[in-house]
Amino acid sequence: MAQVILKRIAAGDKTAVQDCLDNYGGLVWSLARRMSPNTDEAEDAVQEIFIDVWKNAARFDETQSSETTFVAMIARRRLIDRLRKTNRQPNVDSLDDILAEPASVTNLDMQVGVEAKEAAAAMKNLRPEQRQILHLSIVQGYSHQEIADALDMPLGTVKTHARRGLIQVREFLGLDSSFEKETTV
Amino acid sequence: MTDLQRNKLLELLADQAVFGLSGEEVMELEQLKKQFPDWDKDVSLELTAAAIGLSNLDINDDLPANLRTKIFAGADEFFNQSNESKEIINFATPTETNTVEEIQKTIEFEPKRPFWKWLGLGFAAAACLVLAITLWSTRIQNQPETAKNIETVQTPEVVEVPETVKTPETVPTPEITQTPESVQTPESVKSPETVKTPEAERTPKTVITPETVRTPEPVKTPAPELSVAQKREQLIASAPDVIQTNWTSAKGDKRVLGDVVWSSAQQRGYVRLRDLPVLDASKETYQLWIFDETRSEKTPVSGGIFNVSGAGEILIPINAQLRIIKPKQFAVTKEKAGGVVVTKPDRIVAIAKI
Repeated sequence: MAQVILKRIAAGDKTAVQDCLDNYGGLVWSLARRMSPNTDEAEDAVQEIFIDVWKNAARFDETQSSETTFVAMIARRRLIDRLRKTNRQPNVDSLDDILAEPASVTNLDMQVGVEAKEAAAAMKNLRPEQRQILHLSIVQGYSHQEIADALDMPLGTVKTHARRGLIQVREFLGLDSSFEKETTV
Repeated sequence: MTDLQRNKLLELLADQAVFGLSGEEVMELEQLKKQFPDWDKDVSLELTAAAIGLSNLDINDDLPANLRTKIFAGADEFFNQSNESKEIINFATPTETNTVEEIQKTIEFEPKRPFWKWLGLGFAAAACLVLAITLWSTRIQNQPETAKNIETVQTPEVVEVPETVKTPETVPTPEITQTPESVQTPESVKSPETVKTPEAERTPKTVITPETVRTPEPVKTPAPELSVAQKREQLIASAPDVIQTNWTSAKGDKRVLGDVVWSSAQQRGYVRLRDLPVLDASKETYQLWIFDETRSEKTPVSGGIFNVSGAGEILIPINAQLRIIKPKQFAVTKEKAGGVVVTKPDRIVAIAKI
């Protein structure tokens, strides 16, 4: 049932809103709180995200991803955009601590979707620096400049590691892409 | 597509998915996508980043009820607007069967005019009628003083509505138009006691729109902006879980005065400090940190940076970068200008333990 919510929304079925919030409300709320400086900002972000979800529901392609991952993608877009528009302050999780205690992956039930489980598995196969940079950026919310400063690494190198790691995870997930294999760096 | 362009496009898409793009980068990406439209809808990297983000997500709480209500209201508005646009587009742009009948539908349908607007227009028509009668009567009587007053009555809102002429029969004519005596002077027209039609029905400008009718919301009056001190007091008074603790210097003496208040439920708090040494703002800054019991001691959460311009008390709101579940200690450190990502214990100048 969950996999047809976005199609119903795209078709103008207002009753699907209830199902959408039941299924993805907690997910979006959790993402928003993780990527917002405070609760007020998170609340504003969540409202914007769901408007984006209504607008983009018709773009959901069930052959490419689960609804969960699609909704999370819409949420991340909005949250990143909001972070960039405000003066983001660095968050302060210590890099040593993050590496010593990899983030919990205990909650990988159906709520977060099958791609999330596969992504977690794929991350384990990445080179340490790729995994570290993707984790710092996507999970911890560091900007590329903050990561470069913290790891004392050139900005371009940070981006390259992130890109290569991301592409590797994408291949593991089997997500369709218009890209050919990267031949140069 | 050259390898250079392809790699640039890939680089931008990856950056967008992981870090987000600057305005300049967005423009560059859009330019490249125009050249290579096949790639425009490729969201595989964004989906990958989303999946990675989900793989570490703890979903512990449901949406707050008030937020859920707001989202429902937003959805209602969105779907209503969406349906209206679809109706107008469907009628306004007949595609395959571009018949006269459909075009007529378009003309009849657009713009949509709700009942309230008709009522308002009706009143405008009545007002025009009043005006006409007044003009007629004043010319007959040839009284300059009254004519002068009529100019005052001729407000554009009443007169410049041509539609009002088309539909006199659809609108109940106000009582005032039936009694010429009552319209001889402008005062009687303007008087609210004489014109019993509600304010919203007098002119089209004040007619309630359909959207307002569907989702009635109380009129929001802007609340007066509270000072930081008032907000602090409000937090202390309103948050049942508010905690308050005093600052001490890192060395344990009493040179640092002030306190910190914090509510985890509201994720708000305020720091009050007195007589901190003034720093060279171009080189150094103070930074606030929050130690949360649910996190390692090595990973305090930044609460923002601030500077002191002189002696006396400062009061600053805490800007926690991450959600604070159960704070056990606050600290102020002295850092390089702009703040830092990772601090060290030897930079602490003040501590407030719970």
